[in-house]
Amino acid sequence: MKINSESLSQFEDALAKRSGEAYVLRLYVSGATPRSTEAIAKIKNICEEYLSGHYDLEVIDIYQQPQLAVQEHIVAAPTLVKESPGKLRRMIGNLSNTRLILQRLGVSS
Amino acid sequence: MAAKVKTDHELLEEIQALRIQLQEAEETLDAIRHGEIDALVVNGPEGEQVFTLQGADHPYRLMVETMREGAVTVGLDGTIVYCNQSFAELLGIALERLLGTAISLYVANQDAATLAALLEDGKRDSVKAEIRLKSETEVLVPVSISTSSQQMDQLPAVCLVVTDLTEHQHNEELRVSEKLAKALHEQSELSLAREQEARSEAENANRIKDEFLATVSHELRNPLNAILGWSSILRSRKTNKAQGAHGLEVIERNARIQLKLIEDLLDVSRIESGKLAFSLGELDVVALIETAVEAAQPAAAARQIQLKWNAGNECAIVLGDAGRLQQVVGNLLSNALKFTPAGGKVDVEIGIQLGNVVITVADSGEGISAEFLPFVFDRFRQADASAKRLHGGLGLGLAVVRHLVELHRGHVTADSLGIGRGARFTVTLPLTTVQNNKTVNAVISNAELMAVSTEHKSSLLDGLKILVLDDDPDAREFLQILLTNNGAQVKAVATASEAYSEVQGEVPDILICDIGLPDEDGYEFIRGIRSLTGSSSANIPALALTAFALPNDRKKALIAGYQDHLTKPVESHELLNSVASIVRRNDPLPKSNLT
Repeated sequence: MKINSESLSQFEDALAKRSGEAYVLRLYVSGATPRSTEAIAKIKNICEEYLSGHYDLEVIDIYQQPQLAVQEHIVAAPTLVKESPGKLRRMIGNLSNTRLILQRLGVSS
Repeated sequence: MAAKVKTDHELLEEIQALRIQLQEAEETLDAIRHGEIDALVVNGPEGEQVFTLQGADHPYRLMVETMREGAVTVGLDGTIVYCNQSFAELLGIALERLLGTAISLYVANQDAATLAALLEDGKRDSVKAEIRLKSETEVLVPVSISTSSQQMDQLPAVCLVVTDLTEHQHNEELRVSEKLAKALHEQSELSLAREQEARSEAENANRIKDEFLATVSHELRNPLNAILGWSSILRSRKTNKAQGAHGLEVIERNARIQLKLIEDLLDVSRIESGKLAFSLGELDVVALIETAVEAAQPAAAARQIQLKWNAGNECAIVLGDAGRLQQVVGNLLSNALKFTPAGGKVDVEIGIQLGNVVITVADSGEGISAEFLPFVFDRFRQADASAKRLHGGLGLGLAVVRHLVELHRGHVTADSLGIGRGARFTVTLPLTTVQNNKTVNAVISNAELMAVSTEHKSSLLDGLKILVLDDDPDAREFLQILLTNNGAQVKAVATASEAYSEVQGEVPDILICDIGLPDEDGYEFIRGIRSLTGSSSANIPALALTAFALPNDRKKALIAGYQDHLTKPVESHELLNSVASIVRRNDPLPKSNLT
């Protein structure tokens, strides 16, 4: 029996929607670099557009709280962490691809 | 022992998690490779550390590296952990040499305590202070430092932002120099205005001089006209006795007028060149005024003016030149008479005030306008210089008065209630305190030598036999005239050999010798004289008179055997005094009358 990761996330997504569970997201950035500000703006837009009303986005500066990053096994910034619903997923580096992000978050576009 | 066997589901889960981990790791590597990562977080033996990847912190770095302010991070122990280029430039020290050294090395000694406090307080608060940094070349650079605390490897560190205040001060200086420049500009405008004023004053003075020349010409010609006219009438011998007498009287009066004009002119010229000759003596001012008033009475009577002299009971003795002070009073009187109409009066008074004698000459004449009053003593000035003016004269009388009075250390003032209301002139002279100063010789210039000597039969060197040795004929002549006029018997020769033969004859009382001589110089000559053992000539006092003016020359002359040494050009009175004092020193029974 083969389990497709895509189908799994779809399942989780459906589960979240059904339960009305909020998306808990953390965005790890490094200060106010252009990439950081760009990432923050991008993720906020996506959240507002697709997850409006049921998301919780926290932006963490790894310069200010490196210990948090270490605890969460974050090795690079920017990194977007989806803590819930479903399994924890990390998206590292380029956050410009909206479709890919939505897919990772388990949000059907 | 039965091993735990994982179920298929468990295995699948594990595989899934590992796949995700692998995917994330691959994604991280990909992201790093593609430059999508700003920073990495590492949990090493030194705790969490954030490593910024190249380029990611570019804006910060750029900001810190390019800002004009110095940026410094100082560790707990006071060493410089980081600093930017601006800070290094501020100190003039290469950046790499600064890192790891104590920041206290670069602060002025006086500000060391301030810096220490700044670093200490900076660990907790954001503080600010102004101190002076010490550059490599020991130049003190005023800076303002503001701090912010930071954690570095979990230890407190202090970040400093250092602002150079030199420029600020420079700007301050610029402002000051701008102000200064403005002031200077204003000053120069002011001096330009002054210069223009001075120029217009000079032009005015020129105009006055021109007017004066016209007046001189007119005033000199007028009496000449009468003199020449009456002369030709008298030569024609067609006049009777009465007419002839009148003619002669007219000629004499006009000649006197001209004489007075010329004397005034000469006085002004002497005053201007500072060569006015006068000899001081103790004078009774009352007697002096009396003489002047008496001399003016005929003129007053002729013009029907009442000239009154109120001598009072004062006894006023001043130190002065009798002739010149009489001239002062005479000029004031003639001025008063000139401007007072028939039937008017002129009053002369004397009084004593605070150690001064005060002479006033008041008239009931035309008076002086307030505009002209300040210029009344200026030479060449006349209130009315126009051709149709009523009064003759050159306008010099009062200028002469002022100069003469000032030469006597006194002053003269004029006041008038205005046109038609008379004028009053007041001369104030200091009363003498010197009792036994019979003759004080004032400076006599060479040009006036003859005039002075004929005027005042000076006998400073009465009967003194003087031998002059000088190869320059002009110098010889000058010395001969000067000394002769002061009562000496002078023999003047040009060479040393002539001088030797002279002293063999009648032994002079004093020798006056030039030093630069053709055959034998003045040093050799005096040594020769001094070596005439057994002869009375050996001890003749001698004065060296030479153009050699270095201090050493004087020493040489004295060593050679001269009693004194004077340098050419010599002031007459200096020479006379020297001669007199040498003779007096040498002679217990002086022949001069200087005692």
